This record gives sequence, C-alpha cells and structure tokens, in this order.
Amino acid sequence: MVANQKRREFIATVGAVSAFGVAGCLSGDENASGNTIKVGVMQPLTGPLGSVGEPARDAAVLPAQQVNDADIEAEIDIQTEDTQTDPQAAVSAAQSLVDADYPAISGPLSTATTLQVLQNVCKPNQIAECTLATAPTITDVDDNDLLFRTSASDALMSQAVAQLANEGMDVSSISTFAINDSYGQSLANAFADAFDGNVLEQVSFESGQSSYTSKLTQALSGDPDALFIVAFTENGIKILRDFYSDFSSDTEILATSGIYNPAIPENVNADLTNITGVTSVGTGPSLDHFNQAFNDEYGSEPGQFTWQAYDATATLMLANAAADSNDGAAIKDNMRQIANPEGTEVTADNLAEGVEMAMNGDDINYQGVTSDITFDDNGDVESGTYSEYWFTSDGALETGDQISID
Amino acid sequence: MQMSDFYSGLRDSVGDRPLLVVLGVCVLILLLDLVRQLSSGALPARNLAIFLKNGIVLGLIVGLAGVGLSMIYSILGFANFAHGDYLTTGAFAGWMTSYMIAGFGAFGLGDLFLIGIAGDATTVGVGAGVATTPIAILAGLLVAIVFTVFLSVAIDRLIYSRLRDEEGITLVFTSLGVALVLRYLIAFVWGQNSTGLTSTAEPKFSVSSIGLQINAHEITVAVCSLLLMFAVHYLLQYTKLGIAMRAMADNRDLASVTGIPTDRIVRSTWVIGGGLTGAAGYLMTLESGTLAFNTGWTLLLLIFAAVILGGIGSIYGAIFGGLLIGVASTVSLVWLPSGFTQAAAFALMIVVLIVRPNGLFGGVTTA
Repeated sequence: MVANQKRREFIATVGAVSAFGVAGCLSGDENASGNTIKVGVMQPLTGPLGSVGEPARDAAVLPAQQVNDADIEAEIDIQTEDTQTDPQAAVSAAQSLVDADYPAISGPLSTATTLQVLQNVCKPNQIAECTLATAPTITDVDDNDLLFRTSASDALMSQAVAQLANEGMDVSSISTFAINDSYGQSLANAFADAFDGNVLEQVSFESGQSSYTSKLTQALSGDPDALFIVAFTENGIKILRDFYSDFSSDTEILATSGIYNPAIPENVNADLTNITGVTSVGTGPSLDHFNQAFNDEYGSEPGQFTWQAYDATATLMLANAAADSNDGAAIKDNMRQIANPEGTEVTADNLAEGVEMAMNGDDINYQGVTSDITFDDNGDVESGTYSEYWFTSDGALETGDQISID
Repeated sequence: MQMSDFYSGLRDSVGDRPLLVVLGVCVLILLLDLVRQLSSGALPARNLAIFLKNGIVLGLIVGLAGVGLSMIYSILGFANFAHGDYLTTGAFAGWMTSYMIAGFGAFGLGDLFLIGIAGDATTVGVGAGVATTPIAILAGLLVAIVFTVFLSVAIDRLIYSRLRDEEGITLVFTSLGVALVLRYLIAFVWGQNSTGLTSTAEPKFSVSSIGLQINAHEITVAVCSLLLMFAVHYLLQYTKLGIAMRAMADNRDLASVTGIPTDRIVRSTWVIGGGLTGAAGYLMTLESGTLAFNTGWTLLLLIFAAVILGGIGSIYGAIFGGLLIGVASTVSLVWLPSGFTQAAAFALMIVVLIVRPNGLFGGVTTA
C-alpha cells in the first residue's frame, strides 16, 4: 500500500529530523571530532524521476553502512534529502544539508537540479558535489572545480545511440523527440551531430501535456525510418501511448535510459517490440561486490544509476578521509588523489580499509562500480559503457550487447 | 456618393484601429501561407487534420473546465485557484469507481482503489475503456461529477462562505491554500507518479480521404463536453434559476432586493460549476489515458488563459476561449518550432486582450 509506505516514510523523516535536532544540541560542533565523515545524499525520491531516485538513494547510502559496520576508527554520518526532481526543492534540500554542516553532496540525479544546486548552494558555500547528471553541459560549467560526476557524459551516450542506429539497425533517416530541458536538448543535439544520415525533424516537448499527438505528427511528418525519444519515464508513458494509438509501429523507436523501466510496459499496453534503446551499465572492478552487497541489504537487483550513486558517495567519503577534514574545499582537492591511478587499489570489497588508509595519508586508487573512476580536469569520468536493450512481445525488458565509448 | 462614404468610413475605422488592421493582415498572411503549404505538399492535409482534432478535443476539455471557473467568478467575484485541483480530485474519484467496477472480482478492492499506481490492478489487467467497459466509464463519470459537487459545496460551506465579505486577494490566497491541501492529500494517498489508466484497444474510426483516425475516447469526450455545454446554455437562458443567476451576476444587491435567495443561488453555482469541473477532469483522463496528482494544476494555466481570453465571467467566452487556446497550441506547429507552441497560445491571448481588453465576450456576464 502506497499510503502505508508514505506514512512510514513520513514518520521516519519526522523521527530522523527530531533525532538530528537533539544530536545537534548534545554534541555541538562535530567538525572538531575529526573522526566523523559527513556526506549529504540528495536524490529525487518523488516527481518524474522518483522511480529511479529511490534505488539510487539506497545505493548512495550503502558505502556508509559498509564502513559503519566495519570496526574502524571513523564513523560515516549521512543525511538523505529529496529533490522532488524539482530545481527549487533541490536548492532548499541542499541548503538544509549545508545548514547541518555537510561539506559534500552525493547526487542529485537530474541536470537541472544539479546546476541549480551548484550555483546557489555549492559555489557560495564551497561544497563538493558529485552528481549523476549526464548532460554534456556539466563538463564545461564554471564550477570552481567543486563539481564531479561518476556517470558518463551524454556526449558519449549520443555516440552510443548513433552507433546503434548506424551500424546495428541500419537506419538512414531519423527525427528526434526530446524533452525541453538542458538534458533533452543537449542529448538530442549531440545525437544529431553524431548520427551519420538524415535528421529530418528535431521536435521538443514540455512535460505534463495532456496529448503529444500533434508534436509526434510533426516529428514523424517526413516519414523517418526511426524516432529518437529522449524522455523521462513519466513523459515516456504518455508519449508511447499516443504513439501507439495514432501511428504505425513500422517506425523504429530509439530510446535512452528513461524508457528502460518496467513501468513502461505496465502502463503503455501495446506491443513495444519496435523499441531499441541504450542505457548505462556498471562495468567497473567493484561491480560484483556491489551487486552482492546491494542484494544482501535490500533484497533486490540494483538498477540504473545505482552504480553511479554508490561511486559518488564512496569517492566523497574517501576524499573526506584523505583530507582529514569536513571541509568542502579540501574534499574537492582530494577527489583526484583518491580516484586516479597510482596507489593501493580500493574496491567496494575493502572500502572500510580504504577509508583507514586514506586517513593515514596513504595513496589510494578507488576502483568503482560504474568504471574504474578516473576524473579528468573537468571532473568527468573518461569513458562510458552502455548496454543495448529492448522489450519482448510480452513486455519483458531484455538487455544485449555492450557498447563502450571512450 | 455611396462609394465615397464607404471609403471614408473605411478610412475612419482604419484610422481608429490601426492595430486591428495590422492583426488582420497578419492573420491573412498566415492563412495564405497555410493554403500555400497545403497545396505545395509541405504540410500534408493529414497533419493539419490531426492538429485540428487534438486542438479541438483539448479545447473542449479546457472550455468545460473554464465554464465552472467563469461562473464562480461572475457570481462570487473571485478567481478560484483551487479549480485545477477540484478537477484532479474529480478525476481520481471517478477513475477509482471505474476501476472498481471494471476490475471487480478479478482484483482486490485495495489494488483497484490505487488505480494501478501500486498493486496488481494495472492498466493492462483492468483494461477500462468506453468500448470494453462502458458501464464502468459511465458510472465513473457520474461519480466524478457528484463527488466534485459535494467537494466544492463542502469547501464553500466550510471555508469560502466565512470569507464572503473579504477582499478578493484574501479569497485568492485562501483558494491557493485549498489547492495545495487537496493536491498533497491526493499525493499522500496515490503518490506522485503518473499512471496509465485506459485501455488502448479502443475502436477507431478513420476518415479515409485524409487518413485521419479518431478513437472512441475522443468521440466520447467531444460528445459529452458538447452536451454539458448545451445543458448549461439551456439552464442559464430558459430556467428560473438561470435567470436568477444572471441577475445576481449583474448586480448582487439589486438581485437580493428583488427577492432572489442569493445564498441558494451561490450554492447552485457551486453545484453546477463543480459538476462541470469533475466531468472535465474525468473526460480529460479518458482522452489522455494518464493521471497524476498535479494533472489539474498543470492544466489550470490553460484554463485561466481560456477564461480570460473569452472574457472572465462569460461562460460562452470560456467555451470559445478554450477552443481558441487549444487549437492555437497545436496548429501553431505549422509555422513555429515545436518549443514555442505553448508560448504561441499565450501570445494569442495577449494579442486578443490588447485588441479587446475585456476579452472576446467581455462585458456580457454569465450569459
């Protein structure tokens, strides 16, 4: 029952908030203790990205649990906030983390929330942010080097989709249908540049419309071989319903991570076999350990963005330990130190030892779940791995070959 | 002589309304361009037909929802910002009923209550639709109307009636508060994700000459909206209640003095306005097939635009304004890039207001 779950969450939140208030009164300035590593976690638990954000949040708090369960000097203090997939709400959530003296933020997920949090909270307060947002704009944003990300840029995703369209599916003409925000527009434009063939129409849409048929008509008016849809799950449901109700399934559909969701076949009620998409997958050295730990803790398989979320919290934690201070500026200076080559390899298996080594000032090299995690000058990871996916005629999701882009 | 009179008359009116002339020329150019695009094949006739069909269906729903908003404005003199959430509430009440009837026996009542947002009663499983489960749809529509009537009368009794003599701004902010409470009560129970509701296997009727397809849900929405609009028209023009309502909209004190029971008229206004809003919410969901806690709130901006464009207080203005806004937001795709369609609808509203500051039917209250 949704009602029960909400109520439980509500009570848990109230409890957590009041407990925190009491703790604040008792312990005073936590920075002085030195052995407490503070990481704030922000994910969209509600709103259009809610279904992706919840498992991502679960993965983001997992490194802290692993370290706290181990018998070491340091303790990880984590606080979770909901961005509601809304930039305004995300800024207030980030502000409350800063007010509680959290020097680093693991997350959020969407590009729009990431940029607002960076500009309004992280830059003024010198807070390190490790996002999962994928828009190419993140690469070049003026961030005082505070912003890192563990997911690969959509510049790489667009090449993966283009490669699939050109080589895997032999599509020669295509139209794009992308959500009207920085994520959708930059991905659609990057794809149009990377695609080797005719791009007929580039249509953008607003979220929350009651009908997308007119815009789909516009996108399909040149009769393209395929339609590339960039949408979140929420809009994807409505768009696909309109597509299958008014247009021919002879047009192939190319999709991104937003359509990779079991909620799609449950709510669309059509034969989805003309959809082929790519979604990011974890291929890093820690993948097996992570899968095991996630399954043990939550009893479910980790999904998209859980890999990146785990890596985000883990890197921020290690950088905090290496800096030996709950100070955002010191944390960002140590991010490359703990993640990039040279040093003892640390994985999801020996994370607690890694924290100890970092606290002792040893040189470590975090080997992540998503990839081996090496941050470049922009704070981006250097390669992306994607998996092809499709729906079977009875609505099951299947994944196939992996596509790696450097 | 007559010709010269005609020309001088034309010159005078042109001199008086230069803006109108410029607009007329713009419209003419757009129409000529439309003909050119159609004849040259740049715009397939099928595309234009789909744009018009979608625009009209959206317009009818917005218009139907706008009638209630406009009636409340003309009788009580305040803009009800909770209107969009009345619409959502009606839609949830109606669809819950439809699901309970359509899926009775096959699924647990608890799952049906959650209309597929959680639990087993998914869209695919229940398959509610006009052709598959007509009784469930009819019952849902009725419950949506009745529930929204009760809700709006109850909220009026509980909250608005105590503020009857307050300033407009007090009422506007009160209604914003009511809107938030309703919306997040819905979110508390049904969550914040949207869900697919209707069966997609509905019969389709095609106009073969241009290849346009119209499905059974769109026809149902259009027929129900038009019937309800005619019913309101009849009520206002030919019944005692309608005459009393018009009298009250014109001059409340005078109406009171002549013995019209104003409190009863206010209640009737909420009954009619609320009922139409609930119907609009249910029908909109039938057409779009998805529902979320903020569906009505998102639509409210369009509803307000339609009502203001038509002339706030006029129900015919609301209907006509809804159609104009709906069609403008789709047909503008012929000339504008896809990112500007919503903006085009609002630009049209601004242009109309510049030419006629009171809206198209401004000054004609209620009738």
